[in-house]
Amino acid sequence: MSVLLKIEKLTVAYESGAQRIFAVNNVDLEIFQGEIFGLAGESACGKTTLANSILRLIKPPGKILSGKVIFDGVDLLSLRDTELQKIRWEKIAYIPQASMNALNPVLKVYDQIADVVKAHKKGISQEELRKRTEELFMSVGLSPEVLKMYPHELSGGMRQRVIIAMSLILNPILLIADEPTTALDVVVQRGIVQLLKEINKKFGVTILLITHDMAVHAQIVDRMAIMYAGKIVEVGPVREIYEKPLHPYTQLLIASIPRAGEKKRLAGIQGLPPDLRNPPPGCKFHPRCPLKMKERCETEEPLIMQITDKRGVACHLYNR
Amino acid sequence: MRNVSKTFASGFLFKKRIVAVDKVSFGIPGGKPIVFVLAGESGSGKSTIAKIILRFIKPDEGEIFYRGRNILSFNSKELFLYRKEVQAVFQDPYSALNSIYPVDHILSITAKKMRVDQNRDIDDVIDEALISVGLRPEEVRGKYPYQLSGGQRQRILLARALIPRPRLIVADEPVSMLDASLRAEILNLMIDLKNKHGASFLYITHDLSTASYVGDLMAILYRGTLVEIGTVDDIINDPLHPYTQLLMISIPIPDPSKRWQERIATPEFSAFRGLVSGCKFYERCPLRREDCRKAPPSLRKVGGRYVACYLY
Repeated sequence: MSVLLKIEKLTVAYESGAQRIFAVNNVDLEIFQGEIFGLAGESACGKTTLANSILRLIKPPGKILSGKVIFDGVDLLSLRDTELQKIRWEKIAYIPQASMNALNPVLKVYDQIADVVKAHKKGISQEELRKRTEELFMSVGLSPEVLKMYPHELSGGMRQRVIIAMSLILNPILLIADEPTTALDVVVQRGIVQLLKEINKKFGVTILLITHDMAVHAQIVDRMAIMYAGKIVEVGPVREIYEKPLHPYTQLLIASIPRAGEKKRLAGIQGLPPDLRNPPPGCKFHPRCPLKMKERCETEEPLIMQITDKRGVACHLYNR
Repeated sequence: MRNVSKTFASGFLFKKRIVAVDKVSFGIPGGKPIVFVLAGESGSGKSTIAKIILRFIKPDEGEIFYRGRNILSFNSKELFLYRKEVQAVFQDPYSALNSIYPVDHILSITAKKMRVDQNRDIDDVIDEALISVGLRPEEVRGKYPYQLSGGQRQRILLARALIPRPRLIVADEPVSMLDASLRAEILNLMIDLKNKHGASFLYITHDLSTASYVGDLMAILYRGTLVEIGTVDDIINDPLHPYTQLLMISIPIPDPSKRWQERIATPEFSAFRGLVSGCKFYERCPLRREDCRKAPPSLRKVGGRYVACYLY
């Protein structure tokens, strides 16, 4: 499998006054062509900041301090704005969190899609646009009737499908979706998850799925990475991670998911996520880690190590 | 709750009518403390029912009885007692706490008015409540809500709810805005509070995995109508109503070796829902018959539970 997107030593910080918070801290990541890659982690772990960085959507007080985002052989962070414009939406489409609530309420659905297309492909004819839109809507499970409606007339699930259709209209190679199923009911969620799988299979679109919901990752992704306090702590094929999670954080995270029908006492994770203005020395997880080795974990930051050719983990337990 | 209904009118000239709660009847048994789950998706009417029970809104018809007395006919003394015994915790720990006060001040307001033993020192009452939700008083006293995490804030809200020694805590999506690891802690706390403090919970949620973990009894709501009611174990293991079955197969299992195999149809509907004759689930029901359109099925007894479906 060829590498489609390669993130190298990416560091993104937020600066306020004298303080600097490293929201993404020296992250390396590879996404292969054709796969569905999951990025997991709880609030403030840095996954949304990472997604925003790919298309250089970080605004002050955030700043990309260093690193590369190599897509199709080109470092996106080194491109001029005009060049990056041609990549956004046409090659890489991005669905930010809660975007289904960001549809323009005074425009009909069709007009909003038409706006996007015309902004990127000025030469397209009305007929071609309409035809392409209708076909795309059918393939995302929407009736073309929806094109004539206003966003407020649609249910949450339908609006999410509209957003997905809009993101696919220019045939991108990579789709980045940040929490596409949060705030949707469980039945509607299943429909959206199914849809993303179909898009990946039918159109060959590579998908980077970002969500804190570990059950959704289990259902759909091929490989995944878990982030904690701005760093990747574990990466590998989804089956292996669930069968045998290596990093203590991953183990605790998986053990805290309730499964319908099971009453076994759930583990929580004692303590709180670190205050990134004043992070602990050494491994950022050590204050909460049940398996920490005092001296080393409290002083030395573990780096990601390849345990097998498919799995990586950043933990001193595997680096003795 | 007996035959409780509530219709909301909205839109220009109030022409649109949405029947939020449609002749709902169910009872939470007294005696042993239990967790009673009210499950349903958005628009099912579950939050409206919570507000009716808490007397934030009045139903259009029906009665609500608390320990045998109709809550709508309480005098002010009875109402004060009701508010002590029936407490609430809501979904959003970020906006539910007044941000201009430190959290111990917020708790002292409740402690002053509603502590059970008026002779007790307020600070003792507050400390006891904090400890019972797993917070160390020295860690949170003096802090403002913004200085605490979502999980800590939700614990503060539970602490506040516990001060009057309630018999029933109405918890509307108390964990849905929390991360997975925090969810587990708060859910465990609910179970512990039930066992140690004897408080029953009315747990309102759309998340059946958490419902299954904490719940003892469960009622499933669909568009304002109760469709199935029974023990959590019975319903999870053997869902009878076609809607309950649809809900159960839609729960994502956190296990990559158990992925959804077939593609289910998930037809979706626009936001406005008018009045419907017959069973409300007709359009989405894979087992529907013509008869289902004529009149809505009543709840009928099937084994140890009740199901509103002509199949039984």
